[in-house]
Amino acid sequence: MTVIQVGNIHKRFGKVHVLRGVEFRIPEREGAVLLGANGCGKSTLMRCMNGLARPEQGSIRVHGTDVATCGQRKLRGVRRQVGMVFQNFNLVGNLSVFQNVLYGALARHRSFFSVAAPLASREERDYALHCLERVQLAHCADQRADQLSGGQQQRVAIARVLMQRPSVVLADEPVASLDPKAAREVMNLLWSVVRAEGMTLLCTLHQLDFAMEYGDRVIGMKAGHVQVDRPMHQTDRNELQSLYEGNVRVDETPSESTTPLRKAS
Amino acid sequence: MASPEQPRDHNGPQPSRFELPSVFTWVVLVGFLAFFIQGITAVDVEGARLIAGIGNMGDFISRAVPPDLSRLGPISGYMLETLNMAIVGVAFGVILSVPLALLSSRNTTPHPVVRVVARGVTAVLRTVPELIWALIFVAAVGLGPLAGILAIIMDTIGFCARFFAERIEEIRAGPSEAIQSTGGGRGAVIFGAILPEAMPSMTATSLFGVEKAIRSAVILGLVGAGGIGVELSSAMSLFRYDVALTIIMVIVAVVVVVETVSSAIRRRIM
Ligand SMILES: Nc1ncnc2c1ncn2[C@@H]1O[C@H](COP(=O)(O)OP(=O)(O)OP(=O)(O)O)[C@@H](O)[C@H]1O
Ligand SMILES: [Mg+2]
Repeated sequence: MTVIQVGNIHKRFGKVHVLRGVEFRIPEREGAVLLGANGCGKSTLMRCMNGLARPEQGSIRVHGTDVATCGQRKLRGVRRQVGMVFQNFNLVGNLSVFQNVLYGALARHRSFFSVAAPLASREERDYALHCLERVQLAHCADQRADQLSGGQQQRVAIARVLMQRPSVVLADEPVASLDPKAAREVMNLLWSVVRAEGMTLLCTLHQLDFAMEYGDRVIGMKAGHVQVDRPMHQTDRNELQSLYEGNVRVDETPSESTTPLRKAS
Repeated sequence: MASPEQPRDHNGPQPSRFELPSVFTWVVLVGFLAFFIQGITAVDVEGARLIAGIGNMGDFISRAVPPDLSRLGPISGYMLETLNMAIVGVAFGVILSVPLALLSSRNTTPHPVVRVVARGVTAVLRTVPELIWALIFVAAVGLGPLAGILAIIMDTIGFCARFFAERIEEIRAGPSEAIQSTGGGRGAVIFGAILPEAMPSMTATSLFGVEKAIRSAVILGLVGAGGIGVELSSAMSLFRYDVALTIIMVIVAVVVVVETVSSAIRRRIM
């Protein structure tokens, strides 16, 4: 079953035509890797996929709901199903690790106050601690989030995703700011969590080694297009390397598309 | 051919050694100078008056020293009232500043028009000096500390709402986006990420607010809005400079203590 279906996405920022007809699909439980040079539009695509940005044209179906056009209420419903892992972790720095994990439960509660550490239900508090145990950070529960190392913070972010219990995970360069050892730990953890929970994953990476080792599928972008899209075992290092050669950045590559674009709603 | 390490001779125009001030700078400078000269002549700074002033200062000091400590009890009572006015006024001011700041920040306002209005309200509260607020409230609710507290609330909102909003606007978007992407709504973003991230800075600003309010509260007494100011002005007009000196000493002591405590707290949270 296809979980994510992206069709003919166009996105511009002012004069820069960032996404130029991006198309791919990801079946259920697949761990896909998104590759591409700096500035080719990967983060923009990720942000469009959970409605943090709206594309001007095209559709992004997550479990059948079109994130590109749906209303705010439906969008919130989709977001509950989509966990995010960010390059810079995006924890609330001066709150406890435990509180940050509890925020994942916002996917299940209408009110903010039922995920605030002092007011949260016994079940949610226990589950948050369980999630921290799974990333081996239960002993840091009461520490301030910004006092942890980068690798630990990313593990907390993964615990937050576990708390959310989504069916899809989008990870934008989850290991780009980590040292090699922490990066491998986080990659192992992320993939094992995704496999164990049967989640569908799209993960941006800049390390070809990681991509080839972990990914089931590779989606390679170049200057706003999908250049490569195939199962990992059907590609090779040369093909992936070619994603980083020639004109790769969207802000330096003129767009050839002249199709009139529908305005974003 | 010069070797690569050697600087080459340039024949073209050199960058100028000194940058000439722009026309705008000139206009500002000349304008400032004009006002300065006009001011000096208007207040006719006379040598004789300054010298007489020094004499009068000596007279003041000789009458003020030693300070009359017999009225220390009632004076401390008035100082406590002043302190109360400041604390109560700042507390309400800060509480009211938070929603106003949320309305006036780009990333939290419900609508750009609301933002403009909220910014306007803050600007008005800030621009009107606290002494004028005090005069207005004395007219409205009568003499006494209530007028002073209301004046301090207005002044605190003008100050705090502005700096809270500036802080809220420069908060990194990441944590808010993380909360949004779990399906959290506007309230969750504000309570879960924005207020916690802004909290240290807002606390520091509020402490500045307390320091500012204590100094205001002293002055507000001069127009009858409660506190120690009334005592000071009546001591001065009765030429009881020894009592006045006691009052001034109490004020200075309290202000120093408050500023020391406040900066110690600020150092801990920042
Ligand atoms: N909010 C924005 N406003 C204006 N331009 C933007 C915005 N976001 C992205 N861009 C532009 O879009 C282009 C693609 O950026 P994007 O962040 O998607 O690239 P990326 O593939 O994620 O790069 P990296 O590998 O460096 O993360 C860049 O030229 C960038 O300047
Ligand atoms: Mg990026």
